[in-house]
Amino acid sequence: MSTRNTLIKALALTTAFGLAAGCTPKTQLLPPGAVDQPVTMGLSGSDFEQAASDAVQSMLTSGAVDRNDGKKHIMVVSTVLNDTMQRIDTDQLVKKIRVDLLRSGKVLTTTAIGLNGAEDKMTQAYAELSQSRKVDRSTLVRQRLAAPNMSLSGKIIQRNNRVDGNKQLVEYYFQLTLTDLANGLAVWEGETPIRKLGSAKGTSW
Amino acid sequence: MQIRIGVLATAALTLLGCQTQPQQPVEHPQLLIGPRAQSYLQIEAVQEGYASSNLLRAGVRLYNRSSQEQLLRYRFSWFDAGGFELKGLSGRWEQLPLRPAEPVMIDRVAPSPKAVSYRIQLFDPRTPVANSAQGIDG
Repeated sequence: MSTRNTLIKALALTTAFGLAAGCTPKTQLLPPGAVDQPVTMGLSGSDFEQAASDAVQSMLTSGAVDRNDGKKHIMVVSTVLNDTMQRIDTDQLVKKIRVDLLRSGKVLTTTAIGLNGAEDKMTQAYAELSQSRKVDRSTLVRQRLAAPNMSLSGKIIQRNNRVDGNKQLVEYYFQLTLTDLANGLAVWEGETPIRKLGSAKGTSW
Repeated sequence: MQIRIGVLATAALTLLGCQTQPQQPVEHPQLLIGPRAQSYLQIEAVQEGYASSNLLRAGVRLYNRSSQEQLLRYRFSWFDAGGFELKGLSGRWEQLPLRPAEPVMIDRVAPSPKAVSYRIQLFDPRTPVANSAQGIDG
């Protein structure tokens, strides 16, 4: 009797495992730009791409980053606030903007100066190399850090609204400002709204 | 004679109906239009110029000539003097709902001053990927 019970239990367990394995959704690799990108109520990579693309296109067409002296603007990234219900690394947005502005040949971003110190700590560490006896001083180059003349700041806002009882509208606003540090004036400002309508049962954080 | 014309017309219509390859309109060689999108898109003009003094800028003015709302999937590709594609956010696939008869202008600035030419791909999302080569972003 006990052998029979053990066999039944083993069979039931095997069946359960088999069913669970069979029902597990297959992991897929989504190529960028694939037709069937899943849409989430929260912020996804494609939303950041959209916002960054809109910002860069707007900056380039506005003429705000043009210079007629052949030089490039030096931009510093100031604060980009995350005022959403989600835990977001705002670098997801800022990095895309930086990369595209660099490609445009109009703007360089400093990694040596920032509100929280240098983004690349090596700039500071390099200055200390001249004190080290282990370093061949003839290989050292004199540092002359370029001061930024423009600052990028912004905010990401989220608003949730219930629609028709069982649906919710989630609105995100990507607000960005480019400030001329010489006079403190905003030379470019942009806002990209992204609106999503979905089930009220879903969460957007 | 009438039978022959009828047969020819039927054959021509059948061929058009079975068309699966994207087409390049003769008057706008920069455009690549998918077979489904071709059935409802009316191209008014292709425009090009420069933004920010040396960045190529291209755009297409179009409208949906069907009586239903359509979803257009489009992408701008940018090429350097050697014919290599330039990467950037302005080369990503995007979607745009088109209401009937509503004129729309889509335009983008090239990601780099190295861009000397471009191509605008216009597809319907329902076009099979294998036929349109629209699945991979550049």
